Amino acid sequence: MEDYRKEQDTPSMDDSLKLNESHSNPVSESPAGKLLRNFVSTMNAYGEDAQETYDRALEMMRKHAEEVVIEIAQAYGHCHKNDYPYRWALVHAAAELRHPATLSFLVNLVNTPIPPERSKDPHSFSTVAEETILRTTAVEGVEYLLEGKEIEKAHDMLFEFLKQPSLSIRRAAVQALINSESGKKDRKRIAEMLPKDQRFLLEIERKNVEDVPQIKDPESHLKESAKQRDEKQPAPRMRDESEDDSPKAY
Amino acid sequence: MANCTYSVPNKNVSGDNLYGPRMCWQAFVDWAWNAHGFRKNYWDDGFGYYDACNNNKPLARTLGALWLLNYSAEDYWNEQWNNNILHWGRRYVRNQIDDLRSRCGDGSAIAAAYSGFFVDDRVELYMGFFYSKNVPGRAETFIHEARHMGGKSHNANFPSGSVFGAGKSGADSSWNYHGAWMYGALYLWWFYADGRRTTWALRQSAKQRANLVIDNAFATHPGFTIS
Repeated sequence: MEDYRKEQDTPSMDDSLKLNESHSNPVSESPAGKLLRNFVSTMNAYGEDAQETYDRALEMMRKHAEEVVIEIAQAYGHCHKNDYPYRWALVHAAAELRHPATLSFLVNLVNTPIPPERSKDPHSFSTVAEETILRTTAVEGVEYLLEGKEIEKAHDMLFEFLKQPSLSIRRAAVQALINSESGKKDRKRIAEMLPKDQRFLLEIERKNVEDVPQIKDPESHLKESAKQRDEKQPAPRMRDESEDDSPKAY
Repeated sequence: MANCTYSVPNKNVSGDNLYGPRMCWQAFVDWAWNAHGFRKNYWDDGFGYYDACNNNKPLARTLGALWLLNYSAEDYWNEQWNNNILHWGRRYVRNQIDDLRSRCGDGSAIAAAYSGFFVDDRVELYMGFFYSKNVPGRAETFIHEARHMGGKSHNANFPSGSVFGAGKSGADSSWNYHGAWMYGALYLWWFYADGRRTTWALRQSAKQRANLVIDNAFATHPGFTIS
């Protein structure tokens, strides 16, 4: 920022960063690939018509779901293994298709063993956590199929997922099963398939955020010096997004 | 001094193409720079000081997450402490984090909070923060680290089956411990349930991440999951 350049003009002794090439797009240029590319590009679009654009892209994909899911599977295979946001976008796309053709892709993903942890500090960033998020999203995709033509297959697959060692995958599968039409009568079978020390998963409830314990007095959780800073100005009122007020120095 | 390199993942899916143009606004950049104690010598040399709107670079990607943190409640200006965390999260982070630095890191942690006697209170952000997490995930990191700045450490070991390493330290004992994991999960949950000026996909990703934390980061499972 122009003003800040006056702040410290001494040469920096800190870290330096160089950017390599950006990741290449793993989705092909085939007709179905173009539908998928279009969907991915509208997933986080902005503007007044963003939702309509997204809905249209999803509708177009759904019309060609069988071809698109092949593209999803191929692109997923070509993704950089560390590109968790893109891999997640592809799983999300498959789940949003809500089409029986996605079952095989979603099931394969859930059943693929989670690779060993590659992070040296999983508390801060865990590759196992990121891989797990991909799989719980896929479990939800299978849950959506309980509303369609492949109810039985989807139901059976959710039971299969209970054999996975991941607590989160099991939790997602249990939630899907007990909230399905046959949930009440399935409870006993689910309990029998779970390890004894994880049968508590049957008692976990889906809740709305306003129904769980909140933080009642967050101000008391400020450090002393931060309490004194509470007079700091909040962020400015939002500008009209059509205004051009980009920083002048650039 | 360390040198590092990195590739930029797709910016549509990470949300950087959504939040990048929004943070590229002089009044906001000026405010954020001062409120969070950015300093040139920690944000130059490729980190974006001379290119603040370039969302390939760490500075813009950090400012995008701060934009999300500050404007995702419908009535974002109502940041009273008795409101929900989607409203006061920005106020909490603003007060707790007043020295924000970018570093290469050693490839392990994505962020770290330093506070205490004889310590230069600060939050450091590393490569994984900028390039492995999407924009809501980065906002969650601010919330998590801000709670640590308040002096609240983790107090338990991760439970059996946890993705973070069963039996290792770094978990919170329970939801009611009100630790950094609870802060982060609750923020993501509110963002999923009531976040504005965002997209369905980013809200869905927040839901999945919050559920992962709920399942894996508490010694005793809270007993609920996101509806």
